[in-house]
Amino acid sequence: MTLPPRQPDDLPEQLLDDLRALHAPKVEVPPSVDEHILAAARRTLPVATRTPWFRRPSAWGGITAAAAAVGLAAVAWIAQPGVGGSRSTTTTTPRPFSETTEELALADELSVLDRLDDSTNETREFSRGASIAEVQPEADMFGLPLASRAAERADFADAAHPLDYDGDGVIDILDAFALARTIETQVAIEPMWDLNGDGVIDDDDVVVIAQAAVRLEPREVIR
Amino acid sequence: MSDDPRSDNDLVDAINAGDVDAFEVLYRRYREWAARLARRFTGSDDIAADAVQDTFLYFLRQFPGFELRARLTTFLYPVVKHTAQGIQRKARRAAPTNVDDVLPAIEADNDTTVARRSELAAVIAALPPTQHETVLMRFVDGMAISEIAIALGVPTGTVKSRLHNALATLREDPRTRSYFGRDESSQSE
Repeated sequence: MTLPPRQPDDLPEQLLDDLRALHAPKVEVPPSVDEHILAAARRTLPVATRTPWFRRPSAWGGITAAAAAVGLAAVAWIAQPGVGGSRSTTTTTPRPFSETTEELALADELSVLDRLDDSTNETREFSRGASIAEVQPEADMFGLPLASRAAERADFADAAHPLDYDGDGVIDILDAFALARTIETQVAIEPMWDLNGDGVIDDDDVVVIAQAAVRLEPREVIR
Repeated sequence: MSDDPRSDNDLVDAINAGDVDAFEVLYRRYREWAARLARRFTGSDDIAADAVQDTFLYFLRQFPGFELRARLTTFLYPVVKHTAQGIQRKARRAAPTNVDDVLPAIEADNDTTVARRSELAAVIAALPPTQHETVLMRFVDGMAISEIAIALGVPTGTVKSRLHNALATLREDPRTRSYFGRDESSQSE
């Protein structure tokens, strides 16, 4: 039977003193470094503490709802008779834009049924499979106004994107692979990679990146 | 500022809420530790200063949303290490440096202490790199075994094993066994 190593907390005092004298010398940090770091903090912290879109619960709920709606629309479109041939559809008319992604998702589900009655009882028809951007050009797939997304991108222009694990400036499936590899090798991983906030960095966090990488929008180039 | 009574966790919460002063407190609390650590890996005060700057700019980018689930040194250790070594690699490509530069400077009040510390420095430097690093994290930085394990990404058993083997070397090496009350004459009996 092998005994575990003895706890090495009984080092002689003189050995500890000498070790610390050798390896813990005082190193002066130049004032210019202080100024640079603190200036960066003053510049970015008050701006950055606005909750970014990817940490808003409503955004992820919106993604799920929008994805479900797109899926339903695709299934219904494929299932209907005459798909692939000419369809008698009216010209798409812009509808009043929803304020929330949940409303957008509901609207897309209704578009599967081909009809949506608005408050004036006017019947409108929407083309199936229209991209979210076509349906709601004033908002992105997360239900945020495009203008505010652009402003947020500007705010975070200097910050590493939270899903860009390999730091190459693009969120793609390689980021998911890289995080998965790191988890497998049991190398220390920073807490920031607990992307779903469940307290554990595991495959579920890899899935978060993968979902972002394979979404229907073009890849997001973050710098 | 450095006497701020708030814990690291409280400061992190404040930074997440946009408190710049809290970031400054945390920065001043750990900047010298980070500088010492970077100097240990590189032997250069200039590179250490650059590493401190890059490390804390990286740390700053973690906000908002950063959660402190261990001691801050556990989070910062690998950041300082890899940042410092990365800067040093670039510097070496520009101007190769002497390996002896990374050895610690030996300063003491008397020759006996200088000699003893020189011997200790030599034995420590001759340890395998993983044992060397683990010994310094434990006894110079005062990190717990579990914190070392997290910072290095290895099991706690591995940390204990490295410490055990390193201390065995210190106990047995003729240049350092006197620390343990065992001089060469007693060893030869």
